[in-house]
Amino acid sequence: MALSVNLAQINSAARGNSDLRETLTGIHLALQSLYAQTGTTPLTKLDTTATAFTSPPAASKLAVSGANGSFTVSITPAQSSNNAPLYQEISSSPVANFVSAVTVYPISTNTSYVFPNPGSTLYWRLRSSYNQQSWSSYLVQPGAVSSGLMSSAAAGSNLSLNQSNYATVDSVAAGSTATVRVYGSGGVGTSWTSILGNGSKVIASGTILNVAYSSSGFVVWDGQKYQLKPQLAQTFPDTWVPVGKISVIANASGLVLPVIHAVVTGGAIVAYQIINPGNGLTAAPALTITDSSGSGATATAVVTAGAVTQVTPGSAGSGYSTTPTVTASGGVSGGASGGGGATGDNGGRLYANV
Amino acid sequence: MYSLHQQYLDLASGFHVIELRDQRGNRHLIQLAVGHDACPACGAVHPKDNLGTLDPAAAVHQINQALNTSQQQMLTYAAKHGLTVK
Repeated sequence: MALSVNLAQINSAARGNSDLRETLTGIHLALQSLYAQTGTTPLTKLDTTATAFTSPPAASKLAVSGANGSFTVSITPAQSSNNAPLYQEISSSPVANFVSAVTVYPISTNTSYVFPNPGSTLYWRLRSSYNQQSWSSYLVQPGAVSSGLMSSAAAGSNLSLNQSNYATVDSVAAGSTATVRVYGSGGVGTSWTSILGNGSKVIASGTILNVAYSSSGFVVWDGQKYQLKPQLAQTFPDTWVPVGKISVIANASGLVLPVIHAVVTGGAIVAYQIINPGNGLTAAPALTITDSSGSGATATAVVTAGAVTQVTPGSAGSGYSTTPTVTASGGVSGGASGGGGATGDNGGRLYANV
Repeated sequence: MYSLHQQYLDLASGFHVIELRDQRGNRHLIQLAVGHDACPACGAVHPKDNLGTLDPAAAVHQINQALNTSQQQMLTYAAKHGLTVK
């Protein structure tokens, strides 16, 4: 309803008070002027809540620096005249054009972040939004940023520093004893790289023979050769490089691999017959199918209580003779070949401040 | 191709160390554990009693063959994909 006051009301209210009459008359005239401009209901409730902003905000400023194994991100938000919350989405990639391996961090209204990521070099970008639906264009920080390596002083308790060691340590059966192998990412027989602080060294691959079954120990590089020490404390001399922990499982001399025949119809393998289910298996053996003419068939063995109870056909293949050979191998968990395999705990997992 | 570069017995660690090197100087160490066996839990030592069955030459031959097979596979791979071998 429009607020109004007329001259009769003013005279009645003011009576002999000329000052009050003058004041009320001024109000009357002002209202008349206002109504003439805005209509009869010019007074409406002010809405103090922010309206929804769907158009994206102006880009904020992004600054990323790297030190001591972490990225520090600082955002200077674009000016917002409406006090609406400004959401920021940060993402990084190892490539400048962000076409692969993009990591998108959780959207937040925060303006500073610390992302621990030792030894990484990444590109960074930022986009902003009021409603997390309509985003500003990406603002890319020029050039890649390196986080650097983490010093032990900056590491949190019980933090894995496994990135400093690229050795693989495992073991395989070799007759009456097991063989422990140390090698790099290129496979058995390839060297590996140890990173210590700012330096790194390439260390030769190695093979330790004659290791007793059911034993465990810690492999360490003493600068000339590998040593296998039963206790961790024995690997602590300053110049030695921890390589890995090895647990050689029991000799699988009782292992009997299964004997399986393939059933061929029209050149394709349609079924498998378990002639001998085997014994002592702790993992499904790999099945390799060979033949003088056919190819392409695959199958998977299912092990229950140490023996093969089922063979699941995969691809049927084609061109098989009536007598393809099915060869089972492996069958022991943790080992590349039957028995004596290692369990877990590869190499050189170092923990800080434990 | 890998071949024998040097070998020695390291009494401190109890290893017969056999060092193989390939044509580029890459090393692979074969270490025969000829010292005592130790209990992984308590560190107590036990005399080694199976040295009579060890044949270092056979071990070296077997591992050498495996290494050279792997190396040949890698070189074939490099040739197939036009990679420079360093």
